[in-house]
Amino acid sequence: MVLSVESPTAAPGAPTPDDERLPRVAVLLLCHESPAQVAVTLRSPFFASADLKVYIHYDARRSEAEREALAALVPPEVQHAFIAERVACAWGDYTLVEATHRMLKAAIGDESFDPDYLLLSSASCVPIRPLSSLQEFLRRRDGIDFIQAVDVSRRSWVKGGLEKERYEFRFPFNFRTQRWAFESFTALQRRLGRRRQPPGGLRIHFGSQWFCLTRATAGSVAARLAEPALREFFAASWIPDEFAIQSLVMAAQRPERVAGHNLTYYEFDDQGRPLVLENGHFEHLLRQPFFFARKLSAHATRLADQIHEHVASPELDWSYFAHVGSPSGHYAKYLARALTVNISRSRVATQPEAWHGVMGLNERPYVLLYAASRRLAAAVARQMRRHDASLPAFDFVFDPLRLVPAQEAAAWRGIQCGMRARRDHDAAGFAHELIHLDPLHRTVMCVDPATPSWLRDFALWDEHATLVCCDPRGLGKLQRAEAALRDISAMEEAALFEQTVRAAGVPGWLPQDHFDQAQRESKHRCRILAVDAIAPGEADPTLQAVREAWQAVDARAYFAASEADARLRLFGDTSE
Amino acid sequence: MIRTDRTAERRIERNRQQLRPRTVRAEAIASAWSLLVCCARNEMPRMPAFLDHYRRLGVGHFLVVDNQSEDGLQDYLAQQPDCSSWLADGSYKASNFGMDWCNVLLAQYGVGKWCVTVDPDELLVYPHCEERDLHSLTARLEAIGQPSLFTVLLDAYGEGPLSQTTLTPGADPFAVCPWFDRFNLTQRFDAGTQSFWVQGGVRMRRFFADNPEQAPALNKVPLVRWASGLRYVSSMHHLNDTSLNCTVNGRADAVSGVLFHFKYVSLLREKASEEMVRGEHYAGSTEYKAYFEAGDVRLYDPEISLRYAGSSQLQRLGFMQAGTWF
Repeated sequence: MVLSVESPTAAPGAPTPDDERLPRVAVLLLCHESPAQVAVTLRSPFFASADLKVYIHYDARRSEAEREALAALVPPEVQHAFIAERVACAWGDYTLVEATHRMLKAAIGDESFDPDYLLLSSASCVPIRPLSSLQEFLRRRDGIDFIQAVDVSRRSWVKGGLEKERYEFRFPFNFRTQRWAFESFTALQRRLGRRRQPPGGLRIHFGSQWFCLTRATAGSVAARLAEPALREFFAASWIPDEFAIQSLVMAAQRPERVAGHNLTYYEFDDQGRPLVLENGHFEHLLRQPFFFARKLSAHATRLADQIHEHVASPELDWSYFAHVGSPSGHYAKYLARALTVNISRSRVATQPEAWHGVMGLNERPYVLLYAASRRLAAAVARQMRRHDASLPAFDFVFDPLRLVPAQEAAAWRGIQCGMRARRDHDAAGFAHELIHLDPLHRTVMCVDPATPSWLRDFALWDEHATLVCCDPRGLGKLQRAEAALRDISAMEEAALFEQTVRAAGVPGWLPQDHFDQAQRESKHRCRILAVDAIAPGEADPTLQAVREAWQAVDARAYFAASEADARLRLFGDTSE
Repeated sequence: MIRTDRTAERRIERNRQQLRPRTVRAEAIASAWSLLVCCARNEMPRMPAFLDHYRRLGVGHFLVVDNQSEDGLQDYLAQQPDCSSWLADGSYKASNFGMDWCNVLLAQYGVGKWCVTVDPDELLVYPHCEERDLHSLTARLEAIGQPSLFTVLLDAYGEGPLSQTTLTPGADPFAVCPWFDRFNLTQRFDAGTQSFWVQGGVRMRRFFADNPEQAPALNKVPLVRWASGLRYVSSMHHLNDTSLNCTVNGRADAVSGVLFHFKYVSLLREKASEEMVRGEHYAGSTEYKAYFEAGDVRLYDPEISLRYAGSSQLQRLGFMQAGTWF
């Protein structure tokens, strides 16, 4: 997307309409909030202009005393008029359209003001641009009506639930207070197949209730809303504020003169809940190519202050004019990440099932080193640390008998020998912490293939694990068995010692072949590779570091020179 | 669903008798949109910063149970227009570590309100808390149908030894104890409470390294939309309605928080000596025994300690989540 920076001081030669008078805007304000809350909205410098007048419909559910309190709170510099005959508005029924209709009539009939545009807003909508920007925008889009209007015969607008039924059926019962009657009567009409047709062949268009209409279009809408047949039709329908005015605008105006969107920023989440604007959303709001935004939290006083201050001075950059009507997409991206990316979730108390515990959340790759000779794997890790102390390369941190963060120290990168009990208390949590220890470098750990440990068993089935075999190529089984036995304590690990000796003498796998066997039998989900299979130009810096460390270690030295030599050392003879 | 426990209810009824109103501003409590309930004993050095923190978050009224303080707490609270206080002269231990008294006050005044129940050394932090107060948080929780806030207790400490980490009245605990362990958390799901048993932090690292299973629980539910019949069962770890114990479990859109715990200051050594004699704490005060035996420890470890840098840091580290609260 190329952003062309438009400046209010237009470039020489830029076309300007002949009519230099900036449009006058009537803001129709639907409000039901407390007087103090409505006053917060009206405090915006946006409203304090000779080119703007606010027509306030204060819900009849608010008392006359409250209306008077509100009247006293409206800043004196704001031109305004209260709708004298107030309606008690209820969500879902015709009262919202009725209140809007009354404001339309009041603004159109107001000879003292003479508006060019009529804009529907509410006390929970807040102006996010100066009036001068809105005026300039309307001047450039001369004669366009801004309202969302989707032809329901061509495309669906409602996500789930009733759509055409909203006007085809009658809704004498309130959805919230008379739910059972509402549902039953709807079902009954569906069964009877009685469907109303809009009077005069009116084509129904759906859309959000907010609008900014030219005076001509608004006048036509107001006149038609007074027609008894139309009025009766809309009054018996459900949520008519989402199609009554929209349809009448489309009937009055040529389609190319209707923008198909309004000038108010609002968003919903995947559950249909509106985004509530809170403190901290200021920068986000400025990125939105709109003139109003909803819905402002009653507690976001700092945000209100910031945004009011912003609209007090003219804007220098009008490049957003080109995108009016399309949200920036930041909120959608945030939602998608929060709902699908594991690391956006807390690692505490969110992974109940399964033995893998919090590792179920992990999406970070890690590398495990293994070899028949434990000392060889540890030597590679040590060489990595020596070469670059910032690499989180650990020794056998999951050895059941002891926790060795690094052979040369009792503690390395905060991991201490003494954390063994904690490790075993919640091994998955410990692994998660190790893998997320360093924000820049991947964690490397040694793991003994012959010794069952939480890490050994988990990593085999973890797609985020890469297992690197550090044994040099071409070793015989006896060479590997003999090297393994050098590091196995005949006292502490008697069973493994015996098992290894026995396996060395008969055909089959050694205990040290755990991963190789899994690879051969395709029983793994991790990546398993030999260290010499890492290419010299390996792009992965961790694997590259493993390769370099391994080359610096004399891997052959950890094994007997030959199979015969190993046999001699193991069994005291060289015969087959 | 609320589980009834007649024995506990009878005990709470008994312990209700020990509560004597001292300065109770009934009208202010009734009109407050939210309440904070806590039980204190000789906590004067913490009180000003404690009240400040929660006032900033928008708490409407403070209900404080004073368990035999001798440091002028009563007089101080009497001067605060948004505080009410009760005297409780019974045993802390026999009243389920103060919980019975809190439960009585919550049942009497809290129903239908958002209630914070914490210890005086616990300060609540949650996503966006620097900019959005409890009004905004609870409005969000109501919008997504989340009736309580799960938190993990995060032990904070200073850089020097305990004896040099002094909390004077009015001092900002976050400035005196800015450090916490960036890892060392263990957790296990517990089917009985439908919650996680979380342990760890500096406590496990320093005092329970060899017997982690005995380390104190760090899972707490300090913010609840109080309902009739509701009751905290053991400290603020669980409620008798298990569906409130871990509302972040299995919900990607849920919000959770962190309770900063400012226990590791010089006061602890005096408290530990006192508690060795009193034995009024959990599990025969083994925790205090460990503190007493550890002496003048330094908890800071350059490899493990992180300096607190705001709520977004705790989200990045995975201690809490904002869910879909943009």
